[in-house]
Amino acid sequence: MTPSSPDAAFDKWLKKPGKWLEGTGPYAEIAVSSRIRLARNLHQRTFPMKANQEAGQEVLRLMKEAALKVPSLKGALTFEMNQLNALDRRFLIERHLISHDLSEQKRFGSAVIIDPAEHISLMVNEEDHFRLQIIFSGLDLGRAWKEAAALDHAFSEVLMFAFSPNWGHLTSCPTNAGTGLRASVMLHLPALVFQRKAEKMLQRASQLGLVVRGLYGEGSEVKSVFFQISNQVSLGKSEEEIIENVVKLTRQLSEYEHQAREWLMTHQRMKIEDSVWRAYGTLSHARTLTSSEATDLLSTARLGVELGLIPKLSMGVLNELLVMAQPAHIQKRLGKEMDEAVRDQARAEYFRDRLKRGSATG
Amino acid sequence: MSDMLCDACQKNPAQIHYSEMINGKFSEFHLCESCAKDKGMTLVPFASHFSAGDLLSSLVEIPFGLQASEGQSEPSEACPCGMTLKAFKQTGFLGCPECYKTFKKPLEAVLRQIHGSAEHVGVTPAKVAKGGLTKAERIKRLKKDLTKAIELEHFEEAAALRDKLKGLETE
Repeated sequence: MTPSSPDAAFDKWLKKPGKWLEGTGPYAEIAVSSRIRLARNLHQRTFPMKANQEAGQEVLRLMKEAALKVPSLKGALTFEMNQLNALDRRFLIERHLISHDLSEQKRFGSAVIIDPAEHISLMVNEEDHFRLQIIFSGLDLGRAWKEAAALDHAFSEVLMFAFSPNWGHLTSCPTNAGTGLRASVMLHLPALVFQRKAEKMLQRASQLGLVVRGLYGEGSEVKSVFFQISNQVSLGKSEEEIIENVVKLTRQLSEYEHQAREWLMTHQRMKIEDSVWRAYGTLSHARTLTSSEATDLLSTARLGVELGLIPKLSMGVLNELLVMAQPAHIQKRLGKEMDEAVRDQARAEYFRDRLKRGSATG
Repeated sequence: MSDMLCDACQKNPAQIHYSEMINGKFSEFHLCESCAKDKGMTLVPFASHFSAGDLLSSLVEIPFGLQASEGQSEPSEACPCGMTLKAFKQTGFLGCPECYKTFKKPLEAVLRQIHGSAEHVGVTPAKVAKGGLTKAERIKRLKKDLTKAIELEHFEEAAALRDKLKGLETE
């Protein structure tokens, strides 16, 4: 059933988060998600940053037209940024379907084309004329690349890309030139962080020409930490080589994390158990939860699920809660704008209810 | 850790700690919740499929060492789209695909610096492989662009287009 309007699409997505969140992919207990992003520009056309309104609209028109000729985008919806209000744009960001940059509407004709299953997202007039993104759950770069390559090929038959035989795809920022490929994996490495080994591991990784980025919050005893591994170089290597490098490193880090978790379960089991169950307890009974509190607690609970310590909580539900906990999601779900205090209560209520309902997804 | 101030606003306590390792160089930033949000970082962990330029360029200068161009004289020439080398160095962004031709020399150096290579070995797009636009198509397109440029009084651009057109027509 194809939704017929943005609101209808949002409603549908609210009820069922995208497939990539189900948490069932390979290495899912350490690799959260894999993403392939391809940056492309149209031949002889000014890049979005310098393009005027007419040029921007023309690129959008061409992209929409081209998308109609691509079979795997059948039923896809186009959302133009200037036709969405702030809350809706925020919703799309929270869903990882657009970047913060696109939502700021810095360029004319900025839009996103999304397939109903939410795993293909095509941003138009962001930094480049278009950026194709495919996300899968777990460590699944190979599959994501296969799909991305097929999509890219379909577009390349219909559109003429800005491309030079020497330098490959001509992107608005030279950091993306060549293949225009950014392959990244999101990893959860709490045990390595706990053992203070993460930094050394990541240093070694970066010497392999990969970028490692980490984001973590403060406050919980067990630091739950997420890292993104991605390639830095996009020119001078083939797509397969780039992806293979990221996969190799991800497998290595996963192995180290596995070993570290085993050590923790042997020597610190009670500490971990107590920590993750306290997190679960708060999540299922608190009366108010701030955004950062929820994230922190969910991160801790995540380790519990990954270690099999919280049988009644599944990864799918956990991921769902992570998405639904976000500010725009809370407001869209209840159909109204709310200030922070009210949101915090609504969040806590949603969590209590969802966790009571148990591990069935959806 | 908890008494650390936000790197960006220097006012609020830092709650979000971001670390990065690129080419053996480790950098760490500490932000408060609102500055992090401004910079496009949400607290939801897997929102962090960052784009390379995004976070970095908002916190530090453009990281790819364009400052030292080894005595290259700064040509004041501009690409037909209006982009200058100076503007590129300030923002890190080019204006159009033609910029890659206009600033060929400095860009070759930049590409080598960033990627360690300036030779594409990946996939070639289908239409490009099939020879792209025919000459007739290219002439038609140039004529259209020329008319538009004259209309908009972009005379420099128009002159460049007219030269290209002449070149193609006499081929």
